[in-house]
Amino acid sequence: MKADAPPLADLLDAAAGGDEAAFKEIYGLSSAKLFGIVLRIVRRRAAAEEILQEVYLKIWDNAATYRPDKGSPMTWMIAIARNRALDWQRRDRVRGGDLPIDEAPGRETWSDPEPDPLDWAMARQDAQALHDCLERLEEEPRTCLVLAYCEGYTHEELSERLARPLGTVKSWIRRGQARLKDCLMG
Amino acid sequence: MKDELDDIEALAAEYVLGTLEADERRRAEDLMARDRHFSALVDDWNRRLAPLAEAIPPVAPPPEVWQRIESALRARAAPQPESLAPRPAAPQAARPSGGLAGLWQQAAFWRWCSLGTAAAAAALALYVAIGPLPGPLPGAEPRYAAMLSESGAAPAWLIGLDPAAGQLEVRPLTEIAADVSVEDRAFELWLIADAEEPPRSLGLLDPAAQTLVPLEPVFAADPAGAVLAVSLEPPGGSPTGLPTGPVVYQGAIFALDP
Repeated sequence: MKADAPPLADLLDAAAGGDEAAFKEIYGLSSAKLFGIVLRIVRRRAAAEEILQEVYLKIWDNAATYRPDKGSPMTWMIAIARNRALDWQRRDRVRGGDLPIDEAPGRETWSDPEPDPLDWAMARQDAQALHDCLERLEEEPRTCLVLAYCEGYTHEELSERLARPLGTVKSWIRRGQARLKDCLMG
Repeated sequence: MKDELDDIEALAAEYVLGTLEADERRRAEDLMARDRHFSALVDDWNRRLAPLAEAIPPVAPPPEVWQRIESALRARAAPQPESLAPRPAAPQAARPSGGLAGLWQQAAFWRWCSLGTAAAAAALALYVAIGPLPGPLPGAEPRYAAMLSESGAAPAWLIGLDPAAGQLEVRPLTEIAADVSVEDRAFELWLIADAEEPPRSLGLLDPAAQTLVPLEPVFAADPAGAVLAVSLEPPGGSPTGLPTGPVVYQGAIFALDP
């Protein structure tokens, strides 16, 4: 762990002021994580690369809007990445049925940017809480939430994948999220 | 506890989750721009679900992506002095800390996130076969762990070592059994304690479920730093007592922070 690596929040602050070196550092620390997330939703390399570009330009343009009440800087950037990927998935992708992933998961290059120690500690605590709350859900509702979040499935796609009626899936999602919220606030 | 979220919160929650269609996404985005309360709801849901995203395996983007970003920035701003060569993200394993529980969670999320890649029915069946979410064995306190991976790939096996209980617990993290290239092969676990000594077999692993392996006396000393590896062998394991097939997964044993 680089002892002298500035935390992401400071780099974001500097980037907000126009510091391109800081922005490049942010890219170095976070791009693999964001690319993995985007790739998993859009499942096409070329589109994912284009989206990643747009995401970082958006991060650059909006760096000044980051506030700690939005979560950690990584959480904020992940939201930007997921939103752009989901927008593409819903609007821009040519609908043509289920597209195969270019490469099987786990075969990609594994590169782990060094996490900021505070982000890492906070992420683990939150992960523990979410993990425990997800565990309390029934298996199929939990699967719906996880597939939706990680893979970008729509209700229709979940209904097909799980071979369950659309109404059931929608209900699972709404109830599942209500229970998650309740559990996490306890 | 309310059984369901109200409509506005449900919109925020499903916007973050990703299940809304294009028109609903636009509606949510418009609302975010106009309504600070709604925007705060979206932020809340981002924070709640973000740990799932944290567990998705990173993938290094090609260097061209940064080059294009840099060009775009330059196109907007005043001309910059000569551009620096883009530096690819340096791959380095972040060492997990915080006990085996932390690793199990990350592994659990990571397994869930890879569910979508297989047929749903098969994936659910495998999930059931592996059992409830991973956690420490009752009474066991793993003091050491290892994450075994294929070179350049995400971890495929998570191993906890508990010298006090005299055993090793192995959990597959991916649907290894679903990979056709390993049909009719057995997964054999090897300990490479020392570069000078030949690998010692610790037995065969189940690619679809947890395997418990009794600890060798060699583990009585501090095992940190020794390497565990998995090779592909003929059914029944290596006939020679040494790996005969490719060593596909490996990782070093490390001590867990208490």
